[in-house]
Amino acid sequence: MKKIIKLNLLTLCIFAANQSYALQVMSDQTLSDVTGQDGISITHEVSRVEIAQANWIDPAEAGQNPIKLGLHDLKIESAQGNTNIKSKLDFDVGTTQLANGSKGVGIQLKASVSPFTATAAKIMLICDPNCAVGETNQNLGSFKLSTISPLEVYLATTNGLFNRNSIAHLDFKLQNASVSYGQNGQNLTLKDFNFNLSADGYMYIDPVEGIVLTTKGADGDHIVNLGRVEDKTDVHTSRGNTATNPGVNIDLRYGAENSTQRNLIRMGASGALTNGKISFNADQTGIAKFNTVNRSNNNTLEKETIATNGYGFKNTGGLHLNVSADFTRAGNSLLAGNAPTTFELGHTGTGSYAIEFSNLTPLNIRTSTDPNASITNQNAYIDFGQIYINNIRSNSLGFVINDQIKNILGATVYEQVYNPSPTTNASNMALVAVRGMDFQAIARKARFISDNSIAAQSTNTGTWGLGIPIYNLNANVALFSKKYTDSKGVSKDGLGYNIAASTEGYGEDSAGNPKTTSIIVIDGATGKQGEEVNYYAGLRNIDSYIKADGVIGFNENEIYVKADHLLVAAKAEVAIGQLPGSLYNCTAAETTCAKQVVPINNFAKKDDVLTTIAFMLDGKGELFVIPGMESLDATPETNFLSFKSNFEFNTLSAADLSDEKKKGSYLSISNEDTGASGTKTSSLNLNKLQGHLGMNGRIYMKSDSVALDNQVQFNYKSTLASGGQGTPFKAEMAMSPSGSTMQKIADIAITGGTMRSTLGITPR
Amino acid sequence: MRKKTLMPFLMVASFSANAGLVGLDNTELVDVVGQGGADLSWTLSLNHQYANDLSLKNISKTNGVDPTTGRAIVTEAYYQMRADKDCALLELCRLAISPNNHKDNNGQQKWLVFKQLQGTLQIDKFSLEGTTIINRDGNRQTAMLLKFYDDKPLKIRNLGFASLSVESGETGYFNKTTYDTYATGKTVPTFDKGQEQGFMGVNVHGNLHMDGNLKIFSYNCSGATTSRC
Repeated sequence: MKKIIKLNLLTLCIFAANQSYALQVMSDQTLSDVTGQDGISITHEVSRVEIAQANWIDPAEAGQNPIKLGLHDLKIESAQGNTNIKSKLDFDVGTTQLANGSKGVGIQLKASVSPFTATAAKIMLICDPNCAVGETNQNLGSFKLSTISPLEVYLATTNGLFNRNSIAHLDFKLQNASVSYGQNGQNLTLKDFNFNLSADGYMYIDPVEGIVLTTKGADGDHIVNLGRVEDKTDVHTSRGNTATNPGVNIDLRYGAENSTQRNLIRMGASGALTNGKISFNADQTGIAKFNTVNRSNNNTLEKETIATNGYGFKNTGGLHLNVSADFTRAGNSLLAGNAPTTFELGHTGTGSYAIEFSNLTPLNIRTSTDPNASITNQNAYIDFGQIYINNIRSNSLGFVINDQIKNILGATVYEQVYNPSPTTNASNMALVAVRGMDFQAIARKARFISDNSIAAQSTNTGTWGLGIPIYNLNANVALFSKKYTDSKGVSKDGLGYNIAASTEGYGEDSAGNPKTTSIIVIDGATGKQGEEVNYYAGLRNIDSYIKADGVIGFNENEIYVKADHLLVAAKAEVAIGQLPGSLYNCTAAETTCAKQVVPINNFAKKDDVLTTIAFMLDGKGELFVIPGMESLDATPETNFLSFKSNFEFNTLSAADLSDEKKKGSYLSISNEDTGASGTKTSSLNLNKLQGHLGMNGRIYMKSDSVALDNQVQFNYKSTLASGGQGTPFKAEMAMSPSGSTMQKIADIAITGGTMRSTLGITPR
Repeated sequence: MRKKTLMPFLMVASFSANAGLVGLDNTELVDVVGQGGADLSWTLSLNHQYANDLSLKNISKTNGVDPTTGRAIVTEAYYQMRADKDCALLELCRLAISPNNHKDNNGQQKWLVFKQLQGTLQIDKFSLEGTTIINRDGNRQTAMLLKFYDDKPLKIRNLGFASLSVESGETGYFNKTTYDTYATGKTVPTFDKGQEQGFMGVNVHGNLHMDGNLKIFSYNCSGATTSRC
């Protein structure tokens, strides 16, 4: 009986439902809205794609032959468990409503590719068919990309495909992918690689800028949201399906193909970005331009110098990229419910911990010294500057340095001319050049987070932060193939490199906002004025220059970086103070301390500086990067990143050694005092550093602290193998009381031995 | 490397603190307690077992506490220079200083050599914070505040050198004369026999308890009559 009643009731309901739909009358208006039923839908299936060569040919300057960079023996196959690679493309055109009230014709494009694996056995730098005598095609390694979820792209424009005045929406979902670069059967892999974004903005083609994607346009700024992506592998049971990775996730692993991958480092960014812009063209004219900032007293002088050596290839071919974006923080009106930008940095793999950085701001808290002025809402930002990619044949390139570096090097000219080729003759290389990269972001809040493989970390309400802003980074990176011999005496293929790079310590934009290269920790606790006190401490205004060449090799269980020549020069201030634009942390009740603002150009002043360090190290070295061991029950004590390295200073001639004025490789601390008679610099130096040092380091990232365990072996080879007395670590202690002449105090020798320092840091 | 950069930094930091404190009236120092900051622990070891073996997690192994003295019972101490292991060639564990181009009568460079230099220092906790002071000119200024705690002493273990001697020669720091015979063919007593030559040795072993705050801040020496420079 009961069953029958239920059945009757159900039948009645179904009829009733149908009835009500049937009764609905469609108006003309409703009918006109029913568009978009047309369009094209293409579904394509392929079991396997093989491409012998996919090359990019870079046209060469007059009198030179073009060089190709390509992926060879490229195979695209369906991922495990899928028989075919299914691609689907839906394309539709329809009428849209534009912001200005008129109608537009928009395009809707939806594409997806089912999971696949793309493998290129060789990344080749090819001179064929124009190879010079002694030149061959170069194999730079292998490349692999695989996905476990469909790669999806969605593009909806409001007026045409490219239009600088009408908004478009773009979703790009590359999630939980795996990207590998390999050599000698070992792979450096980006595990769970995400490039997952949802953006509103404008897409257009400009005669000067080329292809442009930007969030800013006719109707203001929009956001790019780097949405977090569910982590689908190695997730702790307590996290269920709530474990996520950042929208841009760079999780580096290392190991042989099909073996347990070891853990290197993890970086990530998620949340909303604004003021984003990507432009892409072939204009190379800026590659020879170097912006440098010279400083004297409190003044900065920015100037542009055009390098005169080696950039003849700028007139033909090559790629030119600009990428920049602002980071958002809570309170930004564009956010509209989206999460502000956060970064993650730390160790990776089972049982590991990392640090999440948030509340990203520029260096200055206010833009004026009016104590009642509100806190600035300027965004922290990254601007990759001008990126140039070329295939070149060269043995001479110019690199322009600033005054500070010129003084440290004891150089006579600003343009340092060097040979990027591994031989004295010009040879082929891929050259990536960066001009004027800026990363002006201070994370005023940070907390320790746990890896998805262990339970989530209970909320940690620390008030500390970290800032590693980078100002005006210029770099030339040349890559080519190079052989090396591993510790077992086996000759292997490696990736040869030649790098010249520099950063500027301090500069100001046209509105007087400070920009700096620094490594500082921040105390973001609330101070006596009721707002964040923003104490900072660390190394600030770092002018640096690094010049290195050698080879990167993938050995079993370790990455080997050899520098046949390594020159590092830097100058930085050890300082403690409050960030520019903060309120001094004292109240009016305290005598002589009113509500006052720290000067906006505080970093240009010496008030906070305890001392200035400068050094130049010139020699050669080796570095072994040893990734952490992966195991199911790994802890920070078993899974950690470690380094082994050694550095041998260049020897000096007898004449140089006996010359008090010669500094050679040196380390100095100096003070600048300003009085009635002007500024006086006095320094204490360790000059003419000689010898061979070994260094081992381990970085332990724990649940609430970081431990740095370091070991230095003086007279490296003898201490290590007890093989005779060797050469001691020697230096000449000297001082320069007036800043001009060096006065020798003593010779110092450390004959050998081992020193270890274990420093644990627990932020509050 | 970090040690090397930290050492001079600490040295200079203390210099500037001294210089700055000269003109300061204690009552003028406004005591502002920092809120954030970091707790640090530091172990520095030279030529000891702990320095050589990175797998060691601490400078000693303990087993409970002695009920009568209240001290931890150390079962294994890693703050030792193991014979033939941590410094297999004794002349490799030396620090030599040759001041002001000193030469002996034969024109040889003279070196002051600290032989078998060794030591382990450990402090389990000290804190680093920022704080604001009013300096002698009446201006507010940020200082680095280091806090040391009485119950977290600086543990000094076997710090010192076996012998100190003056050696001559371009590579005088490698001279390895040991005590063997004296006068004409007389064997030295066993206490000194076979030891590296030198006129004194130092060994410091103990705890240094510190309690208090150290504020370090920048100071511009203007050369005016009120400043000591």
